[in-house]
Amino acid sequence: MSDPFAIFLAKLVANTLFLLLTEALMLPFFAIFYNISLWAQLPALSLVLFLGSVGIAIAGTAISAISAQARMRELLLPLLLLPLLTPVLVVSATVTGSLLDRDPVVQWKGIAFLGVFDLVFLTALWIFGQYFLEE
Amino acid sequence: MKNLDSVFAAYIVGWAVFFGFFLSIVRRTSALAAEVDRLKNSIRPKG
Amino acid sequence: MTKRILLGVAATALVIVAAYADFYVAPTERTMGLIQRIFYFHAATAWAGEMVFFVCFVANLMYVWKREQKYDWLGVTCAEVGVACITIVLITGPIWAKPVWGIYWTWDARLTSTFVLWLLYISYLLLRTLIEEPSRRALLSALFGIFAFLDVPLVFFSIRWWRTQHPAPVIMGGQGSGLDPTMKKVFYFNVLAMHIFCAFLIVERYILEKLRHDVDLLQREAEVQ
Repeated sequence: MSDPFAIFLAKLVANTLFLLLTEALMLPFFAIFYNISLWAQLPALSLVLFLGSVGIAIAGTAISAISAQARMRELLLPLLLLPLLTPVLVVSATVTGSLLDRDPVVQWKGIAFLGVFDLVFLTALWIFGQYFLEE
Repeated sequence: MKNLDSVFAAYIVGWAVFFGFFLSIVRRTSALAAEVDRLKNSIRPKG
Repeated sequence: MTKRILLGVAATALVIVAAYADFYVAPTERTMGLIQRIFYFHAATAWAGEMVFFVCFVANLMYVWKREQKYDWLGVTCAEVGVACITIVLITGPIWAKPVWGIYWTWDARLTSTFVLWLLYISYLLLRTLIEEPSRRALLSALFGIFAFLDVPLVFFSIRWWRTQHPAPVIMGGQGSGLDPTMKKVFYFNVLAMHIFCAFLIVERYILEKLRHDVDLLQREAEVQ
């Protein structure tokens, strides 16, 4: 009987990697088409993208476990997920925006907030994960 | 008085929502209570 | 039955007295004038709604822990009553805002958070309609309810960090905020009245849910025979 959290962790890592890969592919195009220089901001930008992607992946993994057991799951997943992800989307977009705008001040508060979000949801998933997969 | 109609609108709409919600509860409750009686009567002769 | 009627009468009486106080006891606000009086109803309903969602959260936790149906009933009950409250908040807010700010809506911290809160619990209710098996429905919606409630403070702080345009908090704000003492009393009375009224709605809606369960049981019994 495998540990349910291990299953979630595996899905989480997979989803995060997929998101990070997509972001890595998109960034050069953004740099070219919008004339944005990335190099100076790369460390902070990577951090935001990583924490944001983890946040999306955690919530996504949890909610997909719920929606998979309901009807209209393809519609239900984004419907349930989007309100839940508001903090991640708002903060990630704001911090990324300020980084790409070459703000002299890095928004560490925002980045810390993303970390908090990830921590809260990861803990919730760890505590309640087993119940999602109950028969 | 300025904005009196806005204040009234707010109270009326607000209480309309609560009243509508309460009304829907009452309607559904009485429908279900009738259903309970009907089912109980259909069971009783056999039980 | 008499307790229910008593609660209903008390709730209605309190709410009527509160409305009277809003118009005749509370002094007129200096800058906004008459339109400010919406605040008593609007903010009191918001507080009551948030308390109701907290009860929903506790019910959800209790269900996951104990798996007793009554917690599921309480959960859906509080979600519906809470959604009713927040719907009213989202309607009365813009009615107030138009004369005062000149716009019905803005994506500031409080408004956006309240809208997201509303979406979360609408989703909770929608989720329930899409799962047929009762115990599965109870468990999955309780889990979603827990995640939704955990999200609420995160939503608020994230958007407040993002921007602010809502008037500076009058009740629990920082420096320079505060209410005239009479206004404060009227407001807290409204808060009490709305809590009692929501308690009344919760009782009635809970009884409906229990009745639904009884009907299901009886139907199954009738089918067996």
